[in-house]
Amino acid sequence: MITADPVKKIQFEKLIEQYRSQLIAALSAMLQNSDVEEIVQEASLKVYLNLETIEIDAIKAYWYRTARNLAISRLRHQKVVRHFAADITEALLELQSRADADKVYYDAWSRQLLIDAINRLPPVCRNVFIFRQIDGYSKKEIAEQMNISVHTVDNHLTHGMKLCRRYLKETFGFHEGSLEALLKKA
Amino acid sequence: MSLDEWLGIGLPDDIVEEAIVWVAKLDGGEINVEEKQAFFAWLDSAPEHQWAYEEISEAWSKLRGLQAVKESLIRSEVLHLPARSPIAVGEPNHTGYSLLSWVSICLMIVGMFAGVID
Repeated sequence: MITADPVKKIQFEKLIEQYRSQLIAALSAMLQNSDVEEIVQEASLKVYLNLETIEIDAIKAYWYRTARNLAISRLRHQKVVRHFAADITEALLELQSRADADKVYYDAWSRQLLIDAINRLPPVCRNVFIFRQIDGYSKKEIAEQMNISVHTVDNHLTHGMKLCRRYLKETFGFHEGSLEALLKKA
Repeated sequence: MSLDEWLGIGLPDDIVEEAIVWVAKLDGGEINVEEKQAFFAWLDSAPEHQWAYEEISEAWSKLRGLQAVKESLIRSEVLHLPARSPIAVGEPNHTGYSLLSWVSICLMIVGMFAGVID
């Protein structure tokens, strides 16, 4: 077993002491309490075993990301989740199995969904969104050509992303709060 | 292409929408010192903020993958920008790497490592 750099080890121990309760609170919104403890322990162990390869300034972000990945993985496999066929997690499970079976189909389906989401944006918002994100124009170029401020370009991009996300969520059959409600029942 | 990042599984909508505001603001834009400090303070203040930011910035960067099928996108007839050479997928724009790029690169490296050890 690789021995962790003592400085990193001390830093990680301090992070655990300082942020453990914050991480537990964040995970508690996603999982049952008994799962949360397990996830935090597992994430901490994984980070500890990989301290050699992690930059000291990235330890906290790495620890949080590891815990999040484990939590999502756990969510997808919880028995209770499978009882709620209409929920997003079920849809994701189904999509995952589709992805395993036919990744080409899944990629095309996902791409088409994103195209549909963008095509449903209001016209000006949609054009700003496409100019920036697909064509690669700078915000300044877009602002000058459309005679609007860079701040307004930002607002269109923000609005476009929010609307795209809402469309994708609705398409998955996921309505506001349903996952949270589901998880409280778990 | 996965759509998971857009959904922010289990994260409150208001936090995901705050992340969207930051991703849009930091995308190729110039921000002042106060905004930069505000961003890092927000990012650091809760695990959910980090998760939402990582996932939305990943979703945002993946949109570049639609360049190959951009003919499918409907453009408003009243708005045209001068023709230009299409940018390569993943290539930074001419303003160089922005703060968002660096933050995203760092977080993606963290994510990749985290993925490896899962």
